[in-house]
Amino acid sequence: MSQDREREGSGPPAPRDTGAAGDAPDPRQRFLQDYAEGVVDVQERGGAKVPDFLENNLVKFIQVLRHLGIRVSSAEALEALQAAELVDIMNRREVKTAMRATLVKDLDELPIFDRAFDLFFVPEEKKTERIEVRTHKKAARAQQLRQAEDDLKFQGDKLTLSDEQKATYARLGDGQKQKLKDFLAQSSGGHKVDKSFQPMIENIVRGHLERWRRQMEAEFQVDEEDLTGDEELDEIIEQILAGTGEENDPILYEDMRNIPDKDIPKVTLIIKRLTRRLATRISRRYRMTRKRQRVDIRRTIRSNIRYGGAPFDLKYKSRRVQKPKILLICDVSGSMARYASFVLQFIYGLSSVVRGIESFIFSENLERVTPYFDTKRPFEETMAEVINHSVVWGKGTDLVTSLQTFRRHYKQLLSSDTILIIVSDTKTLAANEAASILASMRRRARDVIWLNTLPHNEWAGLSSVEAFRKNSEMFECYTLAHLERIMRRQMARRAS
Amino acid sequence: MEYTIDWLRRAFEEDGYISDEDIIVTVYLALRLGKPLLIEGAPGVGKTEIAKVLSRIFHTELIRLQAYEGLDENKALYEWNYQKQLLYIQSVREAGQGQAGAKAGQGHGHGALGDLFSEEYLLERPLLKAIRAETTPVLLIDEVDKCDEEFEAFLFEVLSDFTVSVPELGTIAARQIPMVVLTSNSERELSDGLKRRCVYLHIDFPSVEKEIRIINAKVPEIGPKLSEEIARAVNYIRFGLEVKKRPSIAETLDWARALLALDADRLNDSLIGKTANLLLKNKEDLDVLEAELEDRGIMGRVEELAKAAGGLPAGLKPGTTVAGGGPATHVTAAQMAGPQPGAQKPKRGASPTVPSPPRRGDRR
Repeated sequence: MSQDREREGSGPPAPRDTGAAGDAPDPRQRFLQDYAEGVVDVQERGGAKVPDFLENNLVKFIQVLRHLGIRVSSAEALEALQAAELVDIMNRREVKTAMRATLVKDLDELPIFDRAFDLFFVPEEKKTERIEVRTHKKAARAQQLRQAEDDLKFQGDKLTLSDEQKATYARLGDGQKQKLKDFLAQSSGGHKVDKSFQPMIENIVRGHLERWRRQMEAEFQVDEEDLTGDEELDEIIEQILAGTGEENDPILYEDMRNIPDKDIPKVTLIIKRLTRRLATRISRRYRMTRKRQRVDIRRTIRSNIRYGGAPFDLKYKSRRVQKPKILLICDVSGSMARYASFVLQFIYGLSSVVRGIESFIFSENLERVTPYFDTKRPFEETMAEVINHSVVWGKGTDLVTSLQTFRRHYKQLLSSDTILIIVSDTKTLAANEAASILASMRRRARDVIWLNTLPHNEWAGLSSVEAFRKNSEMFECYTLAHLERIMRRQMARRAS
Repeated sequence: MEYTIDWLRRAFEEDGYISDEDIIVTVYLALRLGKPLLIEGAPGVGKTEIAKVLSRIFHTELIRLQAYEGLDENKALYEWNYQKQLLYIQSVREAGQGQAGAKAGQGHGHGALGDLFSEEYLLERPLLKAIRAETTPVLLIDEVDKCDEEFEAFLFEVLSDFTVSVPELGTIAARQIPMVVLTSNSERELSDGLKRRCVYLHIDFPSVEKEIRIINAKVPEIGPKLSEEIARAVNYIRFGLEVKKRPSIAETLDWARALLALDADRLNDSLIGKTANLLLKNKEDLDVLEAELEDRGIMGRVEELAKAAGGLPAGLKPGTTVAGGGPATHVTAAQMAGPQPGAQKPKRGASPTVPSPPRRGDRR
């Protein structure tokens, strides 16, 4: 493509005089070919082997983006390269805009891109500095792990611990460390304690460390899987991952049960926005009935009699527009008490944007609450009324009885275009029995979506979660950010 | 002559579209790469206007396809003119019956049927029109998020090949690639396939500074003081209050004109209260505003914020809350509202010659 803009200065040189060098094939051409064929690999071509080509940087940058969860296709990568050559390469802002326009196609990903760009495209000295810092960090980490191994010994032998557990130990306060060490020292010296006790002791230590690790999880931890293995890139990825969410409203990431009352109006507003999106998404028709409309013979003949019977003006049968109905069943039992206002807001938000939602609350038994949300009243009034009138509010959880009640009285509400949304922590009596009722309900509904207020990492051991998961699509949902992610991602995928 | 970023910037300015570097560079790239430009953003930030500006600065036709739920190929691409075909058949048949030889009549009718599916009976819809256009048109596909997914898939097929096959006529290839602009209010996520084929531009609400420039450009009689107050107040209402529907630029301009008509020279709380229904269009939002006016007043807060910003026209930034579609920390202050009738048009003599629009082969 002919360059129409004068390039000034000496930016990262992208060789462009094809064939001028004579013997060797133009590296740029070869690169593009390789790239298109998908054989370019940063490890292979990175580092010192290939000089600081724009292409090389771009490929690395795209790797960073991919590891940050931005999907970039090869076609888009090529386009970004073309775009970067169309703008003034010395003008940082233009280059950034060019890459953003070609690589990022999602509003949510723009902030991530911006941070990645700012961190990645820096002067050479900064890069070197960054690598040093990282090497330093790595050394420090290795040192910590060794320290942990040294500290945690049973009768002089190292315990079998994962690196993660060791890292957790390293992050503990001195007091906690001392406690663990004391425990090991005491048990090592116990009467009649020999080597065979080691597995048991290890289990205890691991249990402790795991517990701490979960508690510390609020702090951000980078998943090893997210990393590329390239030191320089990893540092950028870590920095960005650690910073994600910082600029966003913290309320999005707060566990719903901890949100103070004064922030409730804000939460209500956010939920409304989110539910509106959910509503537009799932109330879209899933598919068109027929590509071609069908001619309505009766109406066509009737209206064409005046043309002497020639079918001049065709009448079509109107398409059936079927929008899915939404049915909400929300847990308001004691165990869910702290999420109750979240649950009610969810119902409130959804009811205010989608008409004809049927909503139920349950604990020991099921109660229909649709009428409370039909009227356009402020949230506080609605909430007070629901709580005052409800007989099941805050009781124990018995999903079996609740679902049976549903089947007995409201069965007709389920049809093949109903989406059933359940909000609950799954902690109920007779979970297996409830799951089998749910299975039969699922067969009658289009879909069952379960929003679980339990954190995902607690799901593993719970049989109730397992039971319900088989019969619904379950999502972790205890912060607004979760709710948003469900709206954006899962719903989009499901609807397509 | 080839067009450059600078040329494009000047052309946009002359057309009265106050934009920023991000918009210009992205539009430029879309044109040079020959890719569709996908513009997302809240309603009323000037997405559609970009297509209109493009058609004006290139003196070319604007072909508009408004997407809606249920839009199908018949309405977007082409349709056979059934009535005309039927009339033709009937006239042929009557002519044939009038002739003595039944065989001759049949023969004639048979021959005519072959012509029934010719261009004469083809009703062009926007997409086909854009593909068959003699000179590169601007094809605007508005609110593409409103159409069905099925249609979206069909759309990106057309947009990547720019050929259409009409079974009765064969394949029609574009004479030149149209400049395609798609707009979306992000009501739903577009498919990855469509996004991949596009150059992406997100337009946010404008910064205070940019909105001042817009107000001054569109309502020049208003004077610098009032326009600044209006821009600050609107910015505060947009991001400082929890309103459901944030006022768009068009609404800001309506408001500015109304204030001008009321002979206002300064903005104050009681004036805001009286004219608020030009900015906010539903009761709940008006209630929020009223409560705020009673509670602590708006202009007081606005001035505080202005002072805190050190007199710089920095306002609250979009993206501090979940703005309609997720956190938007990236502030592309964009601008909008079309040029008023009689606004300055590019002068042929004064501006650089109009470059030829991009051609498809213009890629390496």
